[in-house]
Amino acid sequence: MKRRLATVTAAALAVVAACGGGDDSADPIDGDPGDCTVIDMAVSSEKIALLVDLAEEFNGGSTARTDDGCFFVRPYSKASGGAAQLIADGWPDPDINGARPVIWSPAASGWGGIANQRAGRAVAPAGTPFMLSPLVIAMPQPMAEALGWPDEPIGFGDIVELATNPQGWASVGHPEWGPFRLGKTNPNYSTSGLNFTIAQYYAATGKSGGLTVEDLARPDAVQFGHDVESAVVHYGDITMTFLNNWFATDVRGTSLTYASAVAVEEKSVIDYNRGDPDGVLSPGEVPRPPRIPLVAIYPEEGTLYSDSPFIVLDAEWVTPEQKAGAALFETFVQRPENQAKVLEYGFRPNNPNVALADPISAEFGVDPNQPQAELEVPADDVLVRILDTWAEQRKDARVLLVLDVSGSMGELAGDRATKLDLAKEAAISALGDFKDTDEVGLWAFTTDMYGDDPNYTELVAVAPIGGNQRQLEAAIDAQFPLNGTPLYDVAGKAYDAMLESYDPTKINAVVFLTDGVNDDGNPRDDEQAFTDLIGHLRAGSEGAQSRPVRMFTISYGDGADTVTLKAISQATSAAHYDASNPATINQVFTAVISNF
Amino acid sequence: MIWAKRLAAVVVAAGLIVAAVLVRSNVIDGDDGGSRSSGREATALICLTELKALCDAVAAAQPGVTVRIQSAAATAAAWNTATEQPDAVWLTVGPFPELVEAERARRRLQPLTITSTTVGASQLVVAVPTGDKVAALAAACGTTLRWACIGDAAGKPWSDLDSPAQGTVRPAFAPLNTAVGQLSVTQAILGYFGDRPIDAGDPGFISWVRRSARAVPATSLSGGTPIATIQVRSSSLDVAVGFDAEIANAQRGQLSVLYAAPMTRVDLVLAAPGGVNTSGRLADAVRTAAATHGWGATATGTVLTADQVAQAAQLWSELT
Repeated sequence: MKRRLATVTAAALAVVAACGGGDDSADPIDGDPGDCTVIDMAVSSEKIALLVDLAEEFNGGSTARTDDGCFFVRPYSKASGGAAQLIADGWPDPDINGARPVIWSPAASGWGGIANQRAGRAVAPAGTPFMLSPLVIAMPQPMAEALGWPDEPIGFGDIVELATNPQGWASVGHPEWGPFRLGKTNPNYSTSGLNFTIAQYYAATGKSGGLTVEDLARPDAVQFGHDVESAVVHYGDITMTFLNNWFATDVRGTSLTYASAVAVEEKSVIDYNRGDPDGVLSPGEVPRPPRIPLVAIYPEEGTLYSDSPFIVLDAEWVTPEQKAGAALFETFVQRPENQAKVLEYGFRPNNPNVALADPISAEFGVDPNQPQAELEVPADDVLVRILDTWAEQRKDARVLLVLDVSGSMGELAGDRATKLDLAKEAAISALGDFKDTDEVGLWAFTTDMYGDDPNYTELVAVAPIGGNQRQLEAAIDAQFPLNGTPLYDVAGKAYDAMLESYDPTKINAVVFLTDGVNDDGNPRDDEQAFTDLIGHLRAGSEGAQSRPVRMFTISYGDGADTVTLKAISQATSAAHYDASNPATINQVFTAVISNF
Repeated sequence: MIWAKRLAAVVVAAGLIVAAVLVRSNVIDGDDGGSRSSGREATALICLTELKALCDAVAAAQPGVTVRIQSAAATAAAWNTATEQPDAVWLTVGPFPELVEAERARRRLQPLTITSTTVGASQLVVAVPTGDKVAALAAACGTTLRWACIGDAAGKPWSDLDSPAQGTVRPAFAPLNTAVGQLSVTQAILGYFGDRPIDAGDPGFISWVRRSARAVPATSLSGGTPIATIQVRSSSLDVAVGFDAEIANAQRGQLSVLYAAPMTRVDLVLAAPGGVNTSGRLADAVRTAAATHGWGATATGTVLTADQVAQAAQLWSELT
């Protein structure tokens, strides 16, 4: 039962939210296209704000009009890896996965090659890059200084050495920072995760180009990969999860013990230091510079670029008329005045007529004179092999699935299907996304349950899924809606159970799905119970010697207590996911499991 | 017989006038800047991809003209085999119109009777990021760079050139489907052999071509051409070959411009197939845009011939 990569990435991450911002969303642009030809554009999450800005200006201007009519560009956010697989699969279920795009701008050109390799034809022709951002290793400034920054060059090798040193930060005189904790996204979805994984192989082989499939199988390269992955905090589909968590812990003064380094694009360092960690300001959100800024480390061995290609898809759903409109928008985006806007958003323009300037500067933690060297993007077949290999090398996970079986889960959510029916189907499907050595267990919770505890039942103990998948499937399938929702009590107990059996060599986590608010029959103590719960979770999650158990929460349906669930995930530096539309639960489960 | 001589003189004079008018309409236009023949006025302009910014400016100034951007190879492929006269004007560089006519002749097709009007000029240059690498390259390969030396250094550590710079020497050529790519490799090959005739079987030459071509993968050229790329992403290559006109004013301080032998001038031309006129307004718009995009009126060096470009591009393609 290997990770079903194809299935995993086939699912779009339609409604992924990581504690706010940076999420995939269906249609963030305002305005009615009227009679204009609509051009949907799937873009990677880090540039959605910029593209919406540009599209709004384009849609209202003369550039969008020709003698034959007008065009209306509609960008929406889509993780690069998820889009690559959807394109290869013919973009099924637009209602759930988002509109079939005419234009695709993943974070890096490499995704186009992966889509074509999987599709077996050039459905994503080479696109012209329109802005750049190098992969960097973001570190809190005091930590970077402890490694010699800015005077000493720091490379991937240094990071790996520290990550695998049992003494962690104590080896460089900072025991108070605990072990070295690396943040890295899932390379199946995220460009920074993919680029960092490529860089790992280059560091392991001592090459800077010409990586081959044979190189990936070298024992030293495999061991190197395992060593790097062992230091990972958790994975996930977007870097914003890490940046938001870092920012939240910065508020409480504990950012140095959440993560030591995160592989991100340079633009993210700028956003973070501006006080906008996910690069998307919500209505009313005011930027607040962090107490401890991040700095960008440009690995001395070289790095890879995210080059934001502008790809007009050669797919059967794209009309010649739409292609013509897409070409107009591409020209618009490349104009010097719009390339200057690219710079405002923290990207490097791909137009030499726009000189680098703020915010690409030391004031924002980055260096316009770096990087000095680059690593070569591997061939398409090597890229696909890297993704396959990573699925085996990634850090093992111990995960407790906690499923709400309260009475409200019996409400209809579709044609004859209840919310619980859809959740059960999605949960069973998601089991296939784990690898054999991952350990998975299952609880169901509601009030007045049978067994030792009236609020929950352990249906399957946490154990390697290679041996208990059938048992898990049967147990999930057997559930039916019952009573109330003892949310606070069971969240705390699930956390404690995983903390008690904590394994430092694995990602320890709870996946907590509920459709309701706390309803344990005693509303008078709710406020205190909530305060106690968050305090308990924070106390266990912060500090140099903490044993982090991440609680990934899912708000299911429109009645879920999203505020509480966000607070729970934030208290454990994990992520919250929004499945307010029950039809998206499959995709949300896929996104949640991408953290492991 | 006097009347007969007078009549003959009048006829000759009239013939000269007609000839002069024909020559003027077919070749260069002075006052209004366009080309004139008995054909229709061009409403479409095909541009080299390397000239996109310039052509965007033309499009903005001439809203009635449809501008299409495509590679030199794409336009040449279409015109090489066209069975009807193209109805667009091609903004390209010499000697690509001549290459099209030569290829049509080889295919035994009617000539397109292209009229080329020079509207600007630039020069092939080698751009290197300002710093240690410039001095090392000039010291090793001459103040007017020798191509044999650059290719021999490709892929070797900069320390071999006595430079403290990190990494290897990475010269980059534009893809062969571009005009700048074909002109660059022609200059390099001519420079490699110098006064000697080109010897395609020379093993040293074959190795030199392969080293030069493989130092930077095409996927790293996110700007499309080496000079466009090195200006926005200097970490991806060290030695960029291309048109001087490609270097933006905003980047002049960041790059050092060197020259390689043979010094080569590149003419920007408006190529109109027979039967198509370039209006004075369009030609003026192109000239204005060219001047503001680095294509001045003067540049030094020799102009590469169609034969040289055809042979060199073919060789480079076969060897890489």
